[in-house]
Amino acid sequence: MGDAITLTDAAAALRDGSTTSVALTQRALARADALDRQLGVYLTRFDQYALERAAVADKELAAGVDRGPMQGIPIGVKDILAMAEGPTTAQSLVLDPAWGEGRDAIVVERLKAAGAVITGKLTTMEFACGIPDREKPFPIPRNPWNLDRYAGGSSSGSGSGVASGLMFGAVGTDTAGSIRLPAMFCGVSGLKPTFGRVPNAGCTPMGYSMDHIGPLARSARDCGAFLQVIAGGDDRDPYAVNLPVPDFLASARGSLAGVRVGVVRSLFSPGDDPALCPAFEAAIAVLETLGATVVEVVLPLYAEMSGAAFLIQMCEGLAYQLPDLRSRWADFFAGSRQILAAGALFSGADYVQAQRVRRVAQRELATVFTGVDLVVTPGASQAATSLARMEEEGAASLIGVLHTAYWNAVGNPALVVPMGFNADGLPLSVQFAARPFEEALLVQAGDAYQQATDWHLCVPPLAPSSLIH
Amino acid sequence: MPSENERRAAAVDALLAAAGLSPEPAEREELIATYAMLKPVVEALYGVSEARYEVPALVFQAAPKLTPWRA
Repeated sequence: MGDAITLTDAAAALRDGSTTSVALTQRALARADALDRQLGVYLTRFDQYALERAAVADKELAAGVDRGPMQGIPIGVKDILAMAEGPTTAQSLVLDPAWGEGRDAIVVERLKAAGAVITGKLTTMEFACGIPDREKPFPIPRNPWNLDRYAGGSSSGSGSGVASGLMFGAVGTDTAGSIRLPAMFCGVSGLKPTFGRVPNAGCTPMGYSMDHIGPLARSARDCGAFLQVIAGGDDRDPYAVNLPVPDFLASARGSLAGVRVGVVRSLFSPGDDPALCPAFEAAIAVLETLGATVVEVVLPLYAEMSGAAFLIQMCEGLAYQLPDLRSRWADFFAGSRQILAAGALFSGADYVQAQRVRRVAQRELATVFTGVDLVVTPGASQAATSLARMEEEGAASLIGVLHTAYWNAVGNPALVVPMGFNADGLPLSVQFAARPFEEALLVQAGDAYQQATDWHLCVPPLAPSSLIH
Repeated sequence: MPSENERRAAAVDALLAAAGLSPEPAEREELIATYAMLKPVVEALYGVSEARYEVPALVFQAAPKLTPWRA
């Protein structure tokens, strides 16, 4: 069924001599030439720079200089992270063009040092919030499985670009689900690390205490290889945690023997996509065949944390944007204005109370994780919604649809991987979550699942051929 | 006696004015609807009894990191 080539496959191909980084990059750029007018993946392309870096990677690999699996791999970066080669817009008319000019975000520094070939900056929702706005001079990101559907946001170009084979992986950010939502809607894998695992410095903020940078890629194994490069503390980011970074692929051995999985079934509701529950139960059955012990669990304070996540995001986002909202209201996207201005409707006490409940939820969730090693939920109750509906109803149309924000509020790592399709041929996904800083277990689980299934290798009809042959 | 909707609208108008924000009329209506939807959710946070003596999950370190990333 699936015929896509993964990031880690491409890394192996670079080392066995069956391809070169220049060839991969040329193909990625050619696909962008052919498809991006429809998809809206890129805001800025760095073709010449990318080809030069690819040539360097080939030269280094030929000389035996191996910088790891990201070396020579074409990837993209969401345009809310600074990169010296080009402007950072945050897909906004408001961001000061001097912001980050000539600078690399810490994550970008690390990817460059690992030899990754960054082909360009990718579309997002404005400042990683809101919805597309046709009145603003930016591309409308579209879903490669159906161009009338929303690609998911806010890491829209990252999800759509990976799904369409314009790149092997991409940097995304996730404040309430913005890595996992486009990964789910576009049918790829997406990993939100533990809060503090990856430094945020050099990335425009949305919600300071809930922003996470992480990878989107074809497979869970790809996400682990990507995270390996960008994880780790840095003194330039006060939230980044100085913990040792384990080998995220070390335990990816295709088995879940001895792993205790807590399944959350309480999130299902009558309005769910009819294909969701059967696909989810089939995924759970696969986990059992892989050796996992499955029990049912309930997430503590789920509704409260979902509400708190939105309150915190709105208030923290408003703190950053308030001066510009006052003076340049009309320059913001309409959807951004709605979300950010709502932060003014609640008090400082409300914000602190949300942070207090957040602490309770973290503690009670830790108790749940004494009985299980992983928690598994559906990622969203629906497949990709139509762009027209998003534009008519706003981001509020996704409230209750996404099962992602809880994990931003508690800070635990979470991974989504494809688990099937609905009747309209749109991807559905399962979400794994683990204890803080146990991303390696997420990669192990996602990889084992993907060794037993091939949903992650399915490619949209728009983009049938793989990046390498 | 103002209705619940009128009280909400007045509260939203006052809060937006205090913040110095001036949405268009249609946007004001959407913000009133958002307020009506989220206000009970936020009020429910005060009903979490386990949080009565809890310390908030705010992050502040007395010793600053020494090398800030500069835009």
